[in-house]
Formats: sequence, structure tokens, C-alpha cells
Amino acid sequence: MRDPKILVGTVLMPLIMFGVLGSVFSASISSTEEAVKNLSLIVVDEDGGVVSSSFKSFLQSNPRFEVKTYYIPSFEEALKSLPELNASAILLLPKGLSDNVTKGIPGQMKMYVVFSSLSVVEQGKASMLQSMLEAYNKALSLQIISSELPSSNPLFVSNPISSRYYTYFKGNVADIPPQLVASTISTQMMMMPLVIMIMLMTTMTMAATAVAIEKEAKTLETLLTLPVNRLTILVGKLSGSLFVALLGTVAYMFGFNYYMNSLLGGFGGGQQTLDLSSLGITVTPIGYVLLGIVFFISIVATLALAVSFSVFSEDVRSAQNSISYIYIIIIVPMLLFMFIDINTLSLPAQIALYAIPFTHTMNATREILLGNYQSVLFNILYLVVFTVVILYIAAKLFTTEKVFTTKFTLKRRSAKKEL
Amino acid sequence: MDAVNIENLVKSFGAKKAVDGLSLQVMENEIFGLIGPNGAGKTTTLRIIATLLKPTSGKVSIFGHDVVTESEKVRELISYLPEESGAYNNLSGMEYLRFMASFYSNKGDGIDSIVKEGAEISGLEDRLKDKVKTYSKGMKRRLLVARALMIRPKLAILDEPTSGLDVYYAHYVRDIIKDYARRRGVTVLLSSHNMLEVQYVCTKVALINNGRIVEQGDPKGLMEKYSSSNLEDVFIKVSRLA
Repeated sequence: MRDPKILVGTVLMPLIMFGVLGSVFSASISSTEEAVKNLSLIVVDEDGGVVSSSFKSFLQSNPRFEVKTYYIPSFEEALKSLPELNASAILLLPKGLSDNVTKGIPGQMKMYVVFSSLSVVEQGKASMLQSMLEAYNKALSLQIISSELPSSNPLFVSNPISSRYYTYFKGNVADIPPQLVASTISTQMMMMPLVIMIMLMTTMTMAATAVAIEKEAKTLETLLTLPVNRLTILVGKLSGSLFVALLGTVAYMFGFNYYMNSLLGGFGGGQQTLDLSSLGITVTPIGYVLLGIVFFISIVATLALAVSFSVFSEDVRSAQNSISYIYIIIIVPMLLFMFIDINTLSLPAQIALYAIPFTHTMNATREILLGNYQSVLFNILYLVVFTVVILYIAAKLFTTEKVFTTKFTLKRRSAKKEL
Repeated sequence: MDAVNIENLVKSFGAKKAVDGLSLQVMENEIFGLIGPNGAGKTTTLRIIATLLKPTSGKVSIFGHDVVTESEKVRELISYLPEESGAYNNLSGMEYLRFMASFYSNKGDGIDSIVKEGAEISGLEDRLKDKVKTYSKGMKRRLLVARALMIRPKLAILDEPTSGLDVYYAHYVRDIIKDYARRRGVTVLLSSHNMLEVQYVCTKVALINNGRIVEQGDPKGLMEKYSSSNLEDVFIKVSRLA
């Protein structure tokens, strides 16, 4: 705890890391907005009819699509001029477009979008150009309706029925489109396992370091000859790591929250978060208590697991190296929870997955959000049993001479005996 | 009562016997030196006495308490200074002494008195306010020796107490051990491969080689017995005879 590197690593780093990520994202959005503002378009008008002239007036009368426009007679010349004009796209209005449209045959405009880089800026440019053509198509449609059916309301004819979507979930009906619910839940479901993974890995590294640093600094031998029960020393090590890990978790939560706000806030109305409590998707006070219990037991299990591994390590680097092998049992459930529905897996695969303790941490977190508390109690029970077994093993290892006689080094990736 | 009583101690690591049938007694208030070359079994023996390792066979007791069955009681009586030992770099010397003292006393006054003694033994004065990471090797060793002695243990186990120190610091540490043991009536069991050091500090010595005691007695008596001017010569002669 007195080592500033511990606090910098676990508390400040997440804040800095997510802060930088958030800022980078904001900067990326700004640069996309800037690129969209400076759009330029080469129009190749082979048609020369009413559609092309109405498109020109549309561009002039719509300040939303402020596009610098160049008119070039042929597509080949437009291609040649592209580098010089540094245009964003070429719009080809093919010959006969107006004829077709006036005869009631669907016409086609061709937009050749320039990809100048592989950044998100290109996506912004492409979306803007697409919106522009869709808006023109809509305006043209209204014009045609007005001329063909002068006594009708063009807005009504183009869109006679409007639809409104609601979501039904577990007996609750909410005035929220299901797509929005799905996108919000998937964002939360993506975020939760990621935060849990970071929290557990931080805890594991802390605990492994706490024991290994005693070995590296040559203080462990002295510590174990003091008139204190060795289990007390082990508990002291675990609780110190637990405290730092909890601080780190809070820092991660804050940092991640900032990052997510930068991410979601930047798109304006494009993506938005919403309150899912009207659908019963919320964390109740009981849910918070259960969540606290799940997190606490998971952290203790992680600590015990890390200590069990690190007692064989000669120094901090070896300890961190040895626990990197057990990161896999955190990463696998995290990835699965982020991208698939575990219940769709085969039974053997589900059994194998649920044998991993941290699957229960991820599952419990999701079930708490959905209010399935019975399932959470089973998750807690499994975590408790696993933790007790691992703590017993860790305590046994810590009270035997194996802590001195067995070493795991970076050079040899197998345990070796020392005289 | 014997401070240390070892009977036919054996410690094996796989096929290798680090200690092979070692027996010795250390009397209360003695400064007993265990001397021998590197790999002779000194550190393994001291680690068993300090309850860090368990004997493969044989019996070891400290003031009548068995190191295996009564290890917690033994740890209340001893203080152990490993050969390669460190202190917590992010604590000051004073904070380190206070932290270690807190394991031996629950009372503020008790801790203060232990720390005061530690500060005096270390002789580090104002440097005790500085962080341990700023100390030289010699200063760190003085701090660790002070930590081992300040609690007035019944038995101080010091493994190569002057290891890696220059002449000046080694002399200082030797004087501290000798003076403190005499003044406080602490029994000291130390190991060293520096036989001249042991000759200067110890009241009794045991020569160890290949995990066995090959000779023991008081330094003067051993030198007379082997017609030698120092313990180094004694050890060479004993080894040849063995």
C-alpha cells in the first residue's frame, strides 16, 4: 500500500487510460464533423433534364447539405479531376434519367464515394452523402405526387400509415422501440463483462504481486518467523490487496463511465441511452446487495487463486507471468457473455463453461439486471464453494515450506526444487 | 536448560541431503557460532530452527519447545535474521522498526520502548527518518540487525550477519551483537563462513561440513587442541582429518 506504483497502477492509470480514450473518441467525432462540413461533390450531368435541374435547386435550397459542387461533363474527366479537386464523391446522373422518371420508370443515380483513409471519418462522409440522396428522393417523390394527384396531400400519400413500436418484457410494456432496447441492452451487456474482467485481472495482479514482492524484497522469511499465525499474515495480504482492488474497481467504473459518455454523447441523436426501468430491467436495492456479494466473493476467489499461484514465484515478474495463464478463465466467459447467448451452446459446452467460477460472476451480473434472483443465489453458492476450496489450498500452501522450496521462474516454465 | 537442542537432524531435498545427522546443544546466554563453507548446511539448519523448514527426521527444540509441534510458541521466543534479507523500501527506517515492533507488543508504550531500543542499536540516528530505499547496503543491514535484537528475543538466530558488509560496517555489527547479547542476556546462534569473525564474537563454535558437525568447543580450546593460531586453520585441519 505504501508503494506509490500500486496506487498509480490501479487507481490513476484507469482514469488516465479511459480519459485519453474518451478524448481520442471526441477528437475523432470532431474530425468527422469537420470532414462532413467540407464535403465537395463532382456532378457529371449526362441527363440534362428536369431531374438534374431539380437536384441542383435541391442542393441550393437545403442548407443542411452544404456541398461544394463541381459540374464536369464526362465521367472520365471527373475521374481525372478527382485528385486535383480533392472531391469527396462523383455523382453520375445518367442519360435518360429524367425521361424514365417522367414516364413513371424508376431512375438511378450513381454515387462514387472516395475513400481517402481507413478512419471513421469515411463512414461519416458516406452517411452524409447517402442521407443527401435519400432526402432528394423523398423531395422528388412529393413533387411527383403533387403533380400527378393535385387534390391529394403528398405527405399523406407518401406515408399513409405511421407505425409506433412498443416493447413487452416480462409483463412490462414500455413505449420504447425494441431496436432501441436491444441496442441499449447490448451496450450494457458489452460493458459489464469488460468491467468485471478488468476488475478481476487487476485484483489478481495485485494479490500475486503482494506475495511475490515479499519474496523479491527478501522480507517473506522474516515475516513468517514473526509470532503471528501464518493465516493471519495471509489474510492481511489478501485484505490489503482487496482494498486496493476495490479502489481500482471504483476508478475503473468512473473511467469507463466517462469513456462511455464520450462514446454515446458524441453522436447526438444518432445513438442514445434510455431508462430501461420501465421494462423492469434495473438494479433494485436487493439487486445491489446481491451484486455486492457477487463482486466481493469473486474478488476473494481471485485473490486466493492468485496467491496460490504466486507462492511458487521467485519474483514479481515471475508471479505476473504465472498468473497470466489463469487470465484465460476470466477472458473466455467474458468474450462469450459479450457476443453469444450461452443458453444456445451444447450441454457439454455449458457444463464446461459453468465450471469456470467467473462465468458465475458474469451470469449473476446479468441476471441481477433482469431480476432473476434465484439464478443469482445459485451463482453465489458456486462461487462460495469454489472460494472456500481455493482459500483452503492457498492457506495450506502458505503454511508449508513449499513457499520457500518451490520456485517458478521466467527462465524455466516449470516448478523447480531449490536446496 | 538448553536454549537449542538438536538431535540427529536430517533434512533432504529430493535425493540431496543438506543436513545429515547433525546434533548440537546451545546453552542459554551463549553466543554460538556455526561455521563452515558455503553449502555446508548452515542456512538449512538455521531455517529449521526458525520454523521455516521442517526436518526430514530428527528432533529440534528451542527452550524445550519442539519446532514442528510447537512452532508458534517457538516463534515467540526467537528472532531470525536471514542472510539475504530486506526491509520495506517505501517505509522509513523508523516506520519499519515500528511496524516490526507492533508484532511483539499491543501497547503504545511497549512499542515505543522497543523502537527506541532498535533506533539505539542501529546507530542510524536521523537517517531513520529517511526511506529505506535511500539506505546503503551497510545501513540496511544495521537496521535489520537492530530489528532482530530490539525485541530482546530469548534466542537470536543470525545467518551471516555481516554478509556483504565492508570492514567498517562489519566491525560495527559484530560489536553490536557482542555487546547486546552480554547486556541483555540474549542467546545468539549465528552462522558465518568468516571464521575470524566467529573467533572474535562467539563464546562457542561448531564446525559444520557436508551437513554434519565435525568439531565443536570454545574458540581458544579448539585452537590449542589443533595447535593453530586461528579458527580457519582449525577448520582446515579438522576437514583433512575427516
